[in-house]
Parts: sequence; structure tokens; C-alpha cells
Amino acid sequence: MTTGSSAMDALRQDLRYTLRALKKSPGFAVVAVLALALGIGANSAVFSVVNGVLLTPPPYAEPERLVHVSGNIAQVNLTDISLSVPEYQDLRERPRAFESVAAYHPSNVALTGGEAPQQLSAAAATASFFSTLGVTPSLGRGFTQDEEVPGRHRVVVLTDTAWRVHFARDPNVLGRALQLDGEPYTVVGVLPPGVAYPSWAELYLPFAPTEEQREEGRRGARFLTVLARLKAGVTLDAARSDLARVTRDLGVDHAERYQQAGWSFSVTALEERVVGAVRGTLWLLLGAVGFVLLVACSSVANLLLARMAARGREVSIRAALGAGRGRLLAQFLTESLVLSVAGGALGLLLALWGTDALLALVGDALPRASEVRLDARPLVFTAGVSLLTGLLFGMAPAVQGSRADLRTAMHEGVRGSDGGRSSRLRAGLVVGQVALALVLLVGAGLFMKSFLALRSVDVGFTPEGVLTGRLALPATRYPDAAGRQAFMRELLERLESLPGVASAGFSTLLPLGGRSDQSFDIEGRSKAPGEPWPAVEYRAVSPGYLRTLRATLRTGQLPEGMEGPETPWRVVINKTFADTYWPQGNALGQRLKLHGATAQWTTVVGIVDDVREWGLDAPSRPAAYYSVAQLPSAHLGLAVRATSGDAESLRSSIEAELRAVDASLPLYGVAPLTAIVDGSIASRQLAALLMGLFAGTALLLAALGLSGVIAFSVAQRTREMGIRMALGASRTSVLALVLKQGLRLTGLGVVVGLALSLGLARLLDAMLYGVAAYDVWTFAGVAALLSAVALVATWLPARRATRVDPIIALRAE
Amino acid sequence: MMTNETKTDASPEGAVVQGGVGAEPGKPLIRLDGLTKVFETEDVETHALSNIHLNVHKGEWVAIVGPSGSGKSTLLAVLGLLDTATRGAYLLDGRSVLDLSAADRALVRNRHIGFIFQSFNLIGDLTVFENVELPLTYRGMPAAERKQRVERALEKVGMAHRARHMPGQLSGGQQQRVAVARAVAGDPLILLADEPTGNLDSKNGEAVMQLLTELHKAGATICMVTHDPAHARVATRTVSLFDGRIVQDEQRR
Repeated sequence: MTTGSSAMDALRQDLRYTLRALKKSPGFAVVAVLALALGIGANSAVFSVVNGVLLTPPPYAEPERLVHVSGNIAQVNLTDISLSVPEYQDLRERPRAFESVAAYHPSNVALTGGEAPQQLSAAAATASFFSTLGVTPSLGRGFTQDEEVPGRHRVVVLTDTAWRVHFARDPNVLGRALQLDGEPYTVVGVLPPGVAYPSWAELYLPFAPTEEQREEGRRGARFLTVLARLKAGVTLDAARSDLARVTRDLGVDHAERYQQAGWSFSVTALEERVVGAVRGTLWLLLGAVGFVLLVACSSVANLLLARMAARGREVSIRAALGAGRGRLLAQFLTESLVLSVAGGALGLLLALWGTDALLALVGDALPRASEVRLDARPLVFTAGVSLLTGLLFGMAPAVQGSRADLRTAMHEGVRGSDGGRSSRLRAGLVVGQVALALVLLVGAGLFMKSFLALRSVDVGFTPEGVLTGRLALPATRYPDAAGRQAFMRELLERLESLPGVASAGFSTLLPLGGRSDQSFDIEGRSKAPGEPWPAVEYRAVSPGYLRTLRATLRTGQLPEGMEGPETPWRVVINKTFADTYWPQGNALGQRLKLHGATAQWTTVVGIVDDVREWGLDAPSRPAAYYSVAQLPSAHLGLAVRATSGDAESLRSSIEAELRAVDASLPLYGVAPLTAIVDGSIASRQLAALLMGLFAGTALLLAALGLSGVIAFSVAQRTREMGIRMALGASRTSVLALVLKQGLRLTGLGVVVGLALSLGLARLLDAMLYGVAAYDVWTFAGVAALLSAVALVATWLPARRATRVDPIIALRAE
Repeated sequence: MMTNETKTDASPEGAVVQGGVGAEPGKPLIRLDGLTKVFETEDVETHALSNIHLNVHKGEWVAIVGPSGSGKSTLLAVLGLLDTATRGAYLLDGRSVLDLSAADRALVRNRHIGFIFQSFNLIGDLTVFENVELPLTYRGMPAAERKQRVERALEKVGMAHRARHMPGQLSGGQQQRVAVARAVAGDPLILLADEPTGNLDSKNGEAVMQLLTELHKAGATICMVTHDPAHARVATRTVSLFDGRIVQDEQRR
């Protein structure tokens, strides 16, 4: 029986021996540690993202009780829509499932008083917002009920980020006066670090609804995002049932709006709302790096098996001297663990860099990105993966090595105990590596094809050469449509007269900038009872906007003037709209009317090709472009087309012209339109890029593994090759012999990999665009690529076999 | 069958004695009864050892001789528990060791048997000190005692000054002396030497034989496989094998 101290003693000796042996084989050590570092580092980096985004609870009290509430209108096929002020009030009073309810809406404000005005993203939130969210300000307080009244609402709560960026963490920030949109506000609170809901919010203002917004007649003015805290013990299903009851009750009082419209509430866990869209992709990427780690483990296991075979004599001596199997196992596992710990340490460094690189690549596409850091849990994960990895790749060689052929110790010249079992195991590992690499390559191939398909989508406009930005006209200085119209007209005139500017235009929403659904009536058509209302995506644009985008006019005309609401209303629609409602091709001259207080009957004067407004992967929907003079808005997107390709160079002159019109108005969110288009598919690009990176790494490791096994086999068979050549075998036939061995392993790996890929491709189906999950060309291309790489990996050691000198080989024994 | 036969022959000292069981009074250290080892391949059965009866007493130095393929090394491997017999009995210090588990066999090898191999079999990545220390480590011996024993063993073979050297830095003779030190460091019941001079030149070979002689004089029990009749004559007893059988057992005093 060994005591604890002798076990430690043995461990120390094993460690010393391992380090010395690794020092003697630096090539092996470097390759093994690098392979493991790649595998472990990639896993740690992706896990730190998964941990930050999916596993770490948000910094709110009992976040699992937070839900997001939205509406659906079956009649117009609208889902997940915002709620109105009366509906928010209903949700505060009628449901039994909620402990508290809060609402907010985006309210961008210009911070003035500094060198230049700065646009800040603000959330106008109800007084219940912070308590519902479960957040207590780290400095000061949240909002009070009193501050929900217009005129008393000029207080601000800052996020920790805004406090840091704009106020240098000034501890005396409370009570500080700010000029927002030209009005005085006072800082009353600062939130703790990490609180970022909604993710874009830099500061919070009280939501102070006007009397008009509170009116029953304004139930259709839906602009509030509503969140609620479930009572303790209430499930999501129970909350949904409760809101179904509320809907029925509302239907009694407002039959047309709720009962007949097919209204329903949606209740989603807030966490799902925030991270649901990326959950699948993140788990998929973690699975993919898990495969990379498996391939790395197989590679190192193969290297260790080869080393073990060469160490057969040493093992036999140790066994002859009394080392039991357990003792030998312990020694070999110590060697594996030393490698894995070294790989883990280097992997951690790679992960530090990789996590930053990942976040830089992801940009704004990743929710809760600020929560991603390599903290305790990823560190424990890395340590655990390192140890598990050591056991995983070390166990087979250790078990193999501990099966010492004791008689080997007595016979000089006997090679290591490399029995058929060891060879089969090495071959099996290579087959596994090839199979896993193929699975990753298929995944990468499908993602890449999907991404390329998206890139080749006809967006319906020419984004190159267009610079965009956003403006928010404060109601204090632009209280009416006339003022806004004058501002737009003056700025457009100035911009279009700039050298280097071809055209400019405004739109309430820029392409890929969001949704704006509205139901409408078509003149002369009546809706059958129960038939859904037609719905359209509408934008209010200035005359030059569609021209600036270079949207293609199919028929009719693009309005040139900025006539106000008093002149006849005119609208340009897209092809899908025309084809859907006037399939006979007679859309021009037809009239429609948006549902809403201000809209009037509007004549279709032009039809343009579909512009991808909602995403490159979203099918085109009916869209209508109204005149911004007739449907005025305070929130505007600006698009400016350069005469040359370089739109970025226009930025300073655009800002100068804006200052000349209104010095206190910041232009924010400035970006080339190409960046907006690219950004809309950034997460798919990232998935394709990472899958490609992981697949490439796995392919490289698999090729190295295959090459190593063939090289080892060639070394073992030197004498056999010598005999063959002495008996007259040509170099070509020896080459063919070795290549056949490599290709047989590759072929098996490809078959296994294809079978696995067919099983896994189903999981990718929902994440693909424009390519089938079982795309034959991807599968065939990947198999061909892998076979070609395997051929090269086999050919290199095979060439060495053809250089065997028969005489030397025969003497070698 | 000629088991434990007595041969009338003149030993270097001129004494002719009765060999085998009962040659020494008391219980034998090694007792083999009807030991048989058969190697089986797909369609060939080779009897490497056939019905061996052999007793070795404490303090004996037995030279095992015979032509190539006679079964010398197989016999030594079975004696050293490196290989198992197909049939028969093997008692080591009165205890049956043929049916032991692999772990128990490793334990017996470690505590009771010292090996000296033809090709020295030092581990190239360990220093001289560590090579000698290795079996003691496997025994779980405390470090201080190990150190003491290793130093004593190296002094015994005259290699204490090379303790920190690597095997590759030593001559063949020196390596074999280190191997002897490793074999004796744990105070085994018996030393098994497989052609201990086979890889050495005559001068180094004689030095190793001298070392074994000194160990024997100090009380060691030795079984040694050798091809060299001169070296066999140094032993106190010679067992000759042919075709896996003992054909002669000659003891000298």
C-alpha cells in the first residue's frame, strides 16, 4: 500500500520525468501543446461568450420572473407589436399574474452644452420600470409616480456606461443639470454596472404620457414596449392564460379592436427575448469547437500512441522492475495531464485574445456582449476541459502503454509492443478525425453557401456610395409639420448643392432599419367579415430618397415636390404590393388609405422594384413610400449619395451643412449604407467565418494526424519495404501501397463523416438561407476537398517509403 | 527425461556433489515441479520448457547453459515472473507464484527479484541515481531510505561518483555495473542475470563477473543464463538445457 506521501513522491518523480522527456522531444511537445491549445483556447473563447450571453443571469433580481408582453392581430397578420398607453394601463390593472408592469419607448435626445451636440439613446420609462426590472440605482434613485406627468418629467437616470463616458464617473453627478433637446434636465440616479436593458439605452427619462395618449380613442397608437414581473410561482403558461382572459374582457368593451381583429397577447420570457435569436447559433458554435477539441485530442492521442509504441522497451523494463499496471497508468496519465495543462495555459492566452477578437467581429449583433468576459466560470471551464482533455487523449495511450510485454525487456532489438490492437486504435482515431473534420467542413460549407446566397440577394437598391445618418427633431424647436418640412427642405438643398453629392433624401426608416406596419383600406373594396385587413410597411420619404437609393422605377413616376398634407396625397408602392393587390397590373391610379387619424386617401403614382427593407433573408412584403411632407415625422434617416464611390469623405461637409441649419442638432448613427447591409448579415457572416475557421483547424489537425500515422507506419515497415524492393517492387508500387493505406482510412472517415453530417445537417436547416441542408454539391465538394488534402498528407510520408535503400533496410534489424 | 540429474564431473575446485533437491539442507528458495511452457501459434505448438524440476537454495549461484533455443531465457523469464508457465508448480521462498495476478507478480518482482539484463536496460532519460532508485520508488519506500540504499548500492559497484550521469554518458561496463546496483538495491531474494556479459568486451565482462562473485560471496543467490563456459564455471552449479529439458545439473563447491 502506498501512503499519501509516497503517492506525492511518485507524482513528483513522474512530473520530473515527464518534463525531462518533453524537453528531449521538443517537436512532439510543441505540436501536442499547440494542437491542444488551439482546441482548448477555441472552446474557452466560445464558452466565455456562451457563458456571458446565455448562462450568466442578468444583474436583475430574480430575472426568471421577467416577461415581455406584446400583441398580435390575426386579422392583419401582425405579430409581436408594441402596445398603446391604454393597453399598458389595462395590463397594470387587469391581469392577476403580474406583480408589476412597466413600459418604455425609445426617445433619442440631443445632449447640448458641450463642444458639439451629442445624440444619446434614451429610454422613456415608466416609474415602475426599475422596480419591475429588479434594479436599484447605485447612486440616487429611480423615477417617481409624480414624474410621469408632463412638465415634471425633466429628470434623468444614467447607465453606468453613460456615467463613465459622459461624466467621467463624477461622484457628484446627482443634481447636475443637463440640456437635452434644449430643455433642462437633472440627474437623479445612476444604475449599477452591467445593467443594459434595453441594450441601446444610455440614459432613462420618465415616460410622461400626454392626456391625448391616455385617451381611450388612442388604443391604436401602439409604441410602448411592455415588460412585467410575474408573481412568485406563476408560470409562463399561467400568465398566458391570464392574458387570454384579459383579452376576452377587453373584447367585451372593445369588440372591433380586440375580438373581431383577432387580438392576442404574447408573453415571452425576457431572457428569451434578449438572447433567443442567438441561442441556437451559440450552442452550435460551442458544439463545433467541441468537435475541434475532439480532433485535437485524437491527434495528440495518436502522437502519444506512436511514442508509446517506441517506448515499449522502457515500459517493459519498468514493469520488470515491479511497476504494476496502475503505476504505469498513473505515469502515462501524468504525462498526458502535463501536456493538457500546458495546452490549457496556452489555450487560455489564445482565449483571451480570441474572446476579444470574437467580440470585435460580432459588434452589435450579439446581445449582452458587455457581459462577456473571461471570468471565474470560463476559467473553471478551461481548467476542467484541460484536465478532461488530458484524460481523454491520454487514456488510450496509457492503457496501451501499461500493457507491457514483459519479455521485451529481455530481448535486445525487439521493437516496442506495437501490436495490431495499437495499430487499429491509431487507424480508428484517424478515421474519427477525418469524420469529425468532414462534419465541420459540411457545416462550414453550408453556412458559407448560405452567406454567399444572402450576399447575392438583389437588395433593390445600390448601397455603394451612400452615406446614411439619423436625426431626431426635438418637439421643442420643431413642434409642427411646417417647421420640420422647412428644416428638411433647407438641409436637402444645401446637401444637394455640395460638390461631390449626387443626391440626398430623408426617410422615416432607412433600409433594414426596422418595421412600420399599418393596416389600410383600398378604395372600392370592402372587406368580408372575418377577412384580415390588408397591411403594408410604410415609410415617409422625401422626393430624392428613392432616387438616392437608386431604387428602380418600374412604372409611373417618383414625386419631386414636397407638397404638404393639404395637396392631393400621392404614394409610390413596391412591386410586391402591386402584384398582391392589383395582379392585373392596374395599380397606378388606384387609391388607398392608411388606418390612422391623419392619413387621407392616397393615389398610387409609381411602382418601384422591391427594396429589401426588413432583412436580406426576409421575403419582400407590400411596401408604400409616402411623402414625408404629408406624413411628417420627428425621427428621420438621411441618405446622401456621393458622385464618386467614397461616401465617407462627405461626412464632415454634411455635418457642417447641418450645423449651418441647426447647430444644436447632432447627426448620429452615421454609417455607409454598405455597412448597414453588411451589418444585417453580420451574425451569419460570423457563423460562416467561425465555422470555416474551426473546420479549417480540424482539417489541418486531421491531415497532420493522418500524415503522422502513415509516417509511423512507414517507419515501422522500413524492413518490409526493403524486402519488397529487394524482390523487385518498383518505387511506384511502394508509393501506391502506402497511398492505398492512407486513402482507405480517409475513405472510411469520409463515409462515417457523411453519415454523421446527414444526421446533423437537419439541425442547421433553420439557420440556412438559399441552400438546402442536404445540398449535394456541398457534401460532394467537401468530401472531395478532404480527400485531396488527405492525399497530400499521405503522399508526403509515402514518398519517404519509396526512398528506402533495400540494403540499409535489411541491415537495420 | 533427465531431471536434476547428477553428473560426475570435476569442478574447478575438484569436488563432485549431488545437485538438485536436497543438495542443501532446508527449504529451497526456488522450487520448480514439472514446469512446462508451451508457445502456441495458429497451427504450431512449441514446447519451450518441458517438465522442469529444479530446486535452488539460498546462497547458490546457478549458471543456466545450453544452445540457442534450448529454453534458457524462457526459464529465466518464468523464474523472474516475466512470463507464466503453461503447467507445473513454482514456489518462491515456499510460496506458489504461478497463479498470482499481474499486480501481485509485479509486487513479487519488485520486492524479491533483482534483474540484470544482457543489454543493461537502463532507462535513457533517467540519471544513474534515478535508474537505481526506480524499483525502490515502485515499492513506495520513503525518499530518505531510498537515497541511502541507492548510494550504498552504487558504492558497492563502484559507481557512486557517476550518480548524476545519464546512462548514455557511461561505457557498457559501467552501465552494467549500474544495472547490478539497481538489481541489488532492494535486497532481493534472488538475482536473475540474463547473459550479463553478453554485450561487454572481455575486460568489462570479467569486471562484472567479479562483481557478481563478490555479491555471491556476500550471500546473494544468483541464477545466470550464459553462453560462456568460463563464466558458467564461476557459478557453484550449472544447469544445462536442451530442447526445453534439463539434461545436466552439475554442482560444485
